[in-house]
Amino acid sequence: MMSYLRLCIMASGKIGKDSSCYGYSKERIDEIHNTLPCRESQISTLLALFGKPSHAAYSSIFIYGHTASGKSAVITTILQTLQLPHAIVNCVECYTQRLLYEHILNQVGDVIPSPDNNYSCYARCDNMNDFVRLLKNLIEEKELGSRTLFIVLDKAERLRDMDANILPALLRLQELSNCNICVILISEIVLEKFRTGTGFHEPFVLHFPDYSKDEMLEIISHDCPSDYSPSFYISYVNLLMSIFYMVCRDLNELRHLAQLNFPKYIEPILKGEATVENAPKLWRNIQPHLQKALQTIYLREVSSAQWEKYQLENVEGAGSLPNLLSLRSSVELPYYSKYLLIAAYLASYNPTRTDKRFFSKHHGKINKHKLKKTEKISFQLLGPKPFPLERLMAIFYSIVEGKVAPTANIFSQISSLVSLHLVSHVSSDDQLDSAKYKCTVSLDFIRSIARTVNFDVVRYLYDFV
Amino acid sequence: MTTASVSKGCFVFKARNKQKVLQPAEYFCDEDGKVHSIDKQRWQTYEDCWQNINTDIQKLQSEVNSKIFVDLVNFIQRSHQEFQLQNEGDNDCSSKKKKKVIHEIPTAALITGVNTPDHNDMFCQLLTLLRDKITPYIALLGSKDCNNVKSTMMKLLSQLMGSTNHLDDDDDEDSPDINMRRIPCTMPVLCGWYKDKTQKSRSVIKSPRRSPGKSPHKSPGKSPRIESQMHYSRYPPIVLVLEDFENFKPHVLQDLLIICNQYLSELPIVLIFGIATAVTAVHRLLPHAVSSLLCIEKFQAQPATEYLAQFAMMDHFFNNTTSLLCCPPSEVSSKIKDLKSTTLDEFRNLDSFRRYVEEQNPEEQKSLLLDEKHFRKFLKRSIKQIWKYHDYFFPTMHCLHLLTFDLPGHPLGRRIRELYSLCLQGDIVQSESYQDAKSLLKLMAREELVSLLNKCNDSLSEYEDNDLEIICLELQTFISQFNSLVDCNEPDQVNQQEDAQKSNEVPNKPTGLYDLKKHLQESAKKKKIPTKFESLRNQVLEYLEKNLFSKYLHSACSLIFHEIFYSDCVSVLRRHLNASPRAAIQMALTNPHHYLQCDCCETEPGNIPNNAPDLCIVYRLHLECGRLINLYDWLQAYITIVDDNEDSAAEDENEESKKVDKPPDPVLQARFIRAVSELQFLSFIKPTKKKTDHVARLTWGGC
Repeated sequence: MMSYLRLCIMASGKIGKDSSCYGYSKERIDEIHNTLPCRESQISTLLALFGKPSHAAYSSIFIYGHTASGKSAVITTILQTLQLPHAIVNCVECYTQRLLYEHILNQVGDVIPSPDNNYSCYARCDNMNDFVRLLKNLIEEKELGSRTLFIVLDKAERLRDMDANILPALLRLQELSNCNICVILISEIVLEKFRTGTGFHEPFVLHFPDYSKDEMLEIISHDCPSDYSPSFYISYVNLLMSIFYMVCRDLNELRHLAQLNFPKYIEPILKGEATVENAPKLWRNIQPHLQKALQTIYLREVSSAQWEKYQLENVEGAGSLPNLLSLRSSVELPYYSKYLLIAAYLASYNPTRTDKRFFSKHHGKINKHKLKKTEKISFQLLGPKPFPLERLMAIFYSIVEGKVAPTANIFSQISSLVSLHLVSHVSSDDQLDSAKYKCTVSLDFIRSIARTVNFDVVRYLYDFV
Repeated sequence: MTTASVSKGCFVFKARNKQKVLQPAEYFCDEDGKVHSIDKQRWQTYEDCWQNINTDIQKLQSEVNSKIFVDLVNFIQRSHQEFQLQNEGDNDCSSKKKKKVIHEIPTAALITGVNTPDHNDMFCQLLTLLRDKITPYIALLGSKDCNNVKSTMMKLLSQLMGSTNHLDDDDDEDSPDINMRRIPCTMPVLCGWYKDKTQKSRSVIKSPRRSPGKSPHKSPGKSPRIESQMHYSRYPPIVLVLEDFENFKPHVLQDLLIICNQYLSELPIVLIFGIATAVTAVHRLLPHAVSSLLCIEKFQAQPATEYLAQFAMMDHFFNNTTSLLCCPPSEVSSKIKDLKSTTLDEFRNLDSFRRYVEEQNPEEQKSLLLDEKHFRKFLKRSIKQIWKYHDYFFPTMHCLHLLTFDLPGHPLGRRIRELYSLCLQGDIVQSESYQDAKSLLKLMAREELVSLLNKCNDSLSEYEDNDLEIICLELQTFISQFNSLVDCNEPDQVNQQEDAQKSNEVPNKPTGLYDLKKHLQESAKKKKIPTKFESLRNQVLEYLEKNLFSKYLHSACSLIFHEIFYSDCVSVLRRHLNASPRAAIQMALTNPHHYLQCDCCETEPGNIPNNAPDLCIVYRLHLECGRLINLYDWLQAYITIVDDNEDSAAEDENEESKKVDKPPDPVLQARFIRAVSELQFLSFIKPTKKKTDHVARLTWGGC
């Protein structure tokens, strides 16, 4: 049955676009296609699946594809443009099943919580049984008749974490309620990961493939600002893609970058130094900036406003962005915290038996020959080892300059290091006597910290002796 | 007087005062009725000073944060300028919406620095500022309230929806406006609430009467509040402040952000992350899918060193608040007149005065020590001197700081507080680091030196004083001389002739390698002839040292009666500021007499007194045990000690066997159990599952 259906849909999808409008006006269908470029086949498949409003729709549809492949956008646009009765719920929001049910019921029943209704919802609904019953009542109440009701569940993978009965029941909602309901699940992962033990009903699976480079170009060019010709914008996006497409295929990110850098691109035009036609000149102007932007791709640390400000400053000759970027990972710590962190690092990466050699004045000579024989694995590769508090304090006192009393100030700095995730607590909380810690910072980080207190940390590391 | 509270007394500890003033004023009157009035006076002076200082500190604190807060406020203001509610806007609104393709939550990453205890204050300030200027809708989320999405949403909604409650009717808190418990904590609820609020406030603004009847359940007569709400924009943004960003659970945070992003079209949400370390923390906690929903703008709080520089000033103010005579100079003379003889004796006892007296001839000594009038005059004179010293000291110090703070190696410190402490420690001109700085200054190029001198000149000319003005004038002539020097390398005229003679002696052309070497050696040995510029440079520096630094920058300790203004009991302060709870607890347990100050538990070390508190006995006994302590043995040892006193009279041979046989006295047993549980409460021991009837010791010596 499934394969037959699929065939029918494929066939209808092929001829679909202009011939069949399923009882909707042609303008509406065109509007959908225009707002969602490069998704023609998916849209027509869905339209074919939905059929006319009164048609019995397929009971459940599963849509999957990577981020930014237009899944939610396609579904929402179709449902809203064609004004079909629907409910769209993001499963992230529904941390209990009750919320899930009530969200759906509210949307179907057009109940908006407000002070007037004392923020109440359509009805209290605690389990699937109630939900099916209330939904049936609601459909009658709303006089939907034979019109299909669409329930869209975005981020459907969250449903797996809820009770085991929810996913199978939702997939069979048409069967359970005996109403014309179509449940659409949207997810980023494949259906195989959803299958559970009993009662699982196979939904119709629709894949949204990633956009190709040309498709992305087309979509981004839709953002073209009205003052410039589309061809000009397309050439700009082309340049942009030549730099970023290697590292980034995320449509959202590319769109973001295109918007971010466009003011810089047109800057010579605004200044009157170049014309729209003078592409090479514009390219020479923008290229170094795009290279710089490549360093912080995905980070979103510099908002567009700040980026613009930086670009303005750069024109005046004072670049602050490199400064901005270099500050990214620098951390300011109190004086003793620095030493504590260094001590923690040494305790984590040096074997205990070498402490005497590093930190006592009259250590015996170490047999280098013997040392090389036994130790082959670098401690840096093994990762940090846990150490007791006493060892940390002992190392701390041997490296710190001056005399420090073991006051609450020092101990509270250890706990603040833990809360900053620079050192982590490894023993269980109730073991007050033998608290164990691990240092979680990298060698580069500790080196920069040590440099600020003029401490040569490498000299104390077993691996570098 | 009687209302002087203990908390005020605590404040004074911070203020680096003398021990005498450290105690709250009520102590004085209890001790001695006679000195009452003087102490009252002193208390009064102290209060005045403290008021002054307090306002100064508050001004400082707000200044410290003001810049960053202004930035933040601007950011939040412009982040949602174009926001409009969907159903209200007309048709072109929706078309505008379509154009805005990327929905990001405006986010401010506030790098707060790692000094976490201060953050509370800072966020409080921020919140009040935001509440005043931008929006009443603020939620402050701390990581400890947000263990899961449910509790986070709960907190969020209750804070936001409660906020108007708080604004509108402070007095009747139990008004049945919104019962948070009965409302499902979801975003649609928040949307409905926000829409309702904005529409209502709009209607209020539109209505010409400005009647306070904004919402039906609002008490009248709160018009100031409404006035203040007037200057909120039509759609005040909803600000979520995540106080300690690093400590949030990643999945909670991710879900929260996804949810917020989804409702961005209906709610103008702005996020503020309080990040202690660096922006990289954001990426450690959030995957790209989530972080791409954000539009982060970074705000770096000023690094701690900035704060410290200003702290030096605060420090100075603290130093100034001491005893009675530490008041503006105009009041000094009147106060001295009022002094009684007993207090005068106190002044006579001050160290610096004694030192001074010993240096004087016997007659002068006599009159100073015995003649009250003379002493009063002298006191007045010396206090005036101290004030004069202050008048010169600070400008001069600023000047020296300007000259030296940028020197390589920072011999006199980078911050003014370092210089200040050096100056206080002793005579700065004699110190080694001053000599270093001087030699470095002597190597300076012309442009740098001139700009530095200009700065000094500017800072000195701010003070209106004759002596300083003279120095300013001198400096100006020096600067003009520098400027008139056309060629810096031109040798000094005096030395020119000599130089010419010498150059004649030198053979014009070195013929061989040996000659060349010799020539070079000779010229190296030859005294370098100073150029005009160099000699002028030396002149300036010598002048500054002679007339400014050595004249005014001597240590405060050398002044008579400096104790009035300065205190140097660092150890007392250190004891109060650096808490060492462990040491305190151990002291209390091993030697209860130290804190209780009663006669009964006074004892020589090494002995366990049987009349000490039970807890102390149990603690002392447990110190003798190993890692695991047998409760029964412990109880027996305890009973032995406590019973020792009572049974000492009836001591016989059968005692041992008796004790083993007969069950322990239930009262003693109960006391013992209570002491043990107190010890457990102090986390010295804990129950263990390894052996029944045993407890594990948690402190050192257990293994």
